[in-house]
Amino acid sequence: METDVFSRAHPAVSFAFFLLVLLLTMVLMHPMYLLLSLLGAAAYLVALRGRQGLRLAAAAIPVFLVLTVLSPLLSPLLDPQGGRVLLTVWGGRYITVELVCYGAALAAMFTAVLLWFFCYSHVMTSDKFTALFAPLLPVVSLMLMMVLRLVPAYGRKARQISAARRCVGLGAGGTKRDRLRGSAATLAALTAWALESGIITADSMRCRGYGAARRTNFRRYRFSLSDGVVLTVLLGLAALVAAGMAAGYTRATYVPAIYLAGSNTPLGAAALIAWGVLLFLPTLLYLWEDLTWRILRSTI
Amino acid sequence: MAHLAIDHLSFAYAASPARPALSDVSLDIRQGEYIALCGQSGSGKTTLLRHLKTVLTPHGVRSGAVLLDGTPLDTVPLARQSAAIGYVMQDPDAQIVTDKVWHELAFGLENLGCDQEIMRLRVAEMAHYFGIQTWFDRDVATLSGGQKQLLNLAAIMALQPQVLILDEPTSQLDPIAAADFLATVRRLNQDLGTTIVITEHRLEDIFHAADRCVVLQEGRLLADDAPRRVGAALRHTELFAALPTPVRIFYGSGGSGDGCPLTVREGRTWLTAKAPGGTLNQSLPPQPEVTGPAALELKNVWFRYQKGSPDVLRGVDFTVPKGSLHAVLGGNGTGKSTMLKAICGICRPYRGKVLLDGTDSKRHKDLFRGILAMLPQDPASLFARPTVRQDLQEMRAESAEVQRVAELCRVSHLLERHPSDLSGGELQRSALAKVLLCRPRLLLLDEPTKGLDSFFKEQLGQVLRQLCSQGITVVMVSHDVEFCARWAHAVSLFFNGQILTTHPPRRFFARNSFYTTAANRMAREVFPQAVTAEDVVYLMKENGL
Repeated sequence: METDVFSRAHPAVSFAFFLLVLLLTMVLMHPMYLLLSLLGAAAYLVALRGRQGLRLAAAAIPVFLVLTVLSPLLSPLLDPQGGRVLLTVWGGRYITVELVCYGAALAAMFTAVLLWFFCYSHVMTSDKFTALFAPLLPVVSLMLMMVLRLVPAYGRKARQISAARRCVGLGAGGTKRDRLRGSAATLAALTAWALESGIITADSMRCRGYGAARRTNFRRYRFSLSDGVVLTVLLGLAALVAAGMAAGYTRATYVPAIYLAGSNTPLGAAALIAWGVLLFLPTLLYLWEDLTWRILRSTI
Repeated sequence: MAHLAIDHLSFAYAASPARPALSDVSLDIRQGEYIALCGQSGSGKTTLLRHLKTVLTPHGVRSGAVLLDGTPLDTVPLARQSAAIGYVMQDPDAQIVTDKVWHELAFGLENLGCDQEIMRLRVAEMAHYFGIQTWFDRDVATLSGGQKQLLNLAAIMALQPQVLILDEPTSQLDPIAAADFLATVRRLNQDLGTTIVITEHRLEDIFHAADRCVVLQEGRLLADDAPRRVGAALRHTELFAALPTPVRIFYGSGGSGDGCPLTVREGRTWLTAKAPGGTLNQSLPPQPEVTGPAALELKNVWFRYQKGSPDVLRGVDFTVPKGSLHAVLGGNGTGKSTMLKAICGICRPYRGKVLLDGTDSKRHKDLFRGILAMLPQDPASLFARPTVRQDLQEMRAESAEVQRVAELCRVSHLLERHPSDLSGGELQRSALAKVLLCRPRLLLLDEPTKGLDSFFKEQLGQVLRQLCSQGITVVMVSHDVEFCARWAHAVSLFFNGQILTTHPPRRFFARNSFYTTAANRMAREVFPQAVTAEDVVYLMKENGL
């Protein structure tokens, strides 16, 4: 499961990474920055999931194109629509170059966020999430975890009940009214089961001292030195990007006129490079590990 | 001084104060003892066990006391009690609280506010002792029933309890997982000196391990003695049928005193010593055999769940004559249940034929109207209404018909009860009544004896035989070797997607060395044809042993 270095890091590191990347991707509308974010997400997805990741990343291209086409059509609300008219649609509404560019930027942002979420769900499994927030919100995280367990359990039980009902011919088929009645009965049986097993679970919790003392949390993940280093690097890079942003090097406006800030000063270049390194950090760590293994093996 | 003492305990539930659930029970449990608590369903076993844990103690009218190391249990602080007394319940699934195996192991320790160092050590220790390392990171939903129950036990043992209470822990497990679980419990008792108090239907697996056997009947202490002697007190009660086969044979053949064998090995030694050399009379009363036209025929049936997946049924050939009770035995995951699904059309075979009364099952329009019906493994799934009667009426039967079937299944007295108030056996028979309202000519049963005690098994067996005498054909899939040997007309062995052999029970079991009854394993050198305790006792009497 957890094949790459970054996935094995402390959940706080992974969470900080995704939080920073997602937030920054959503505020940075500069095409260079968006392009980097897209490439970074695609590369990490491939590193994480191999062939399947490649397929997902490839599927992002049509998503991007469709969104690009759709978004200028759906955003005619903007009043100043730019100067260079491409075509006129729907009785005098203009589609301008500026609008198309703006749509492409929005689509790129959306696609990048989507790809990063694919990575997120692979790395930040539910148990990592609860492990991270358990010390802060002990009761909430316990409840969240129990709910996460119960939802699929209810699904399985519902299937079991309807399978049992099919064994006596109460189930598929019949009139609409029969089927409705059947679903109501399944739901009633499911509710009865849920209540009963809820009582047993509560008994089982109290048997093992739930509420007897102040709860502690079993920490599966130790925050190691390397976690600290990676986290510091992450924050440093993000700070650089933020500095660039504050100085206006990431500014990009599309309507009414296209304006893109240049990155030709030292700070502007540094911000762009920092952004790239931040995005590719997990992939780089993955490649680095891969390389060390190859070297290690070749020296045997 | 006793470690755990029950002192003149009487208790009545608030709902029925006139009928005490426990009356004047006194029991001293010493450190490290293994106590088997026996009794029929409703004899107060669970009520008694729940009194040994304050958070589980039921509400009602109580007198007497429970003492832990001389202190009344309800004054012992919750944290100390949680650690000192562990309690394992029946349902493997509902007892699990968290979603990951490692978290479940740590759950109790987290509750008691353990620090990381101790917690890591204890969790690692338990994972190691119970052999959980290989599935330590898994989701609990992916575990088998046996693994889940082992996890429950391990999660409790992580708290290092001095007393372990188990309330029918294996009733939902198959025999192999159950034996494995009970062996682990015995090992805990031997290795760690943990005091064990256990109730169990499968007395065969715990009787020999127990130091004492305590018997409850209608809330009273009927007997409290060593397993070797307790049989004498139960000789003429209904509980006798629940005792292990060697014990029943010993007392059934008129034995008395301290020499009662508890295991197959002891029983074999005892029987061989009794039997003189030379030839013995081996003739048993004949078993009923059913021959006639086939009610069900499977011809070269092949099935797989998905195109790419392996075949589950690989050319099943199977014939069941009309009016017979046919048992299919076989291990877990060999495809027995799938075969039943293929018969009732829930799974469509991709090759081969299923013939019902000589007609292809595909030609029947609605199989579940008057042709066949299946009793699912989990009978509770069939009940959704406030009373059993309303649930039965869901089958669109007239009330006279409901009454008739209820009488046949011996549930007429339960019709106004809520389904979730019924015991396992009562629920099973109510579900059978519901299934029979389809008026099936062919009845399919999936593990009908799961979780039933010997008394209810006897009743179920009688009901099934009665159905057969009315011309209904019964096919059941089971793990319960003893039940099949006692009641079936014919037994088949299912293995690797096929029916391997079919024979009447005596011929079937007398040939097997592992897949056979305890009575047969015990007596096979003296009476090779005997497969039930009754057979052995009969032959012993015939030969004057």
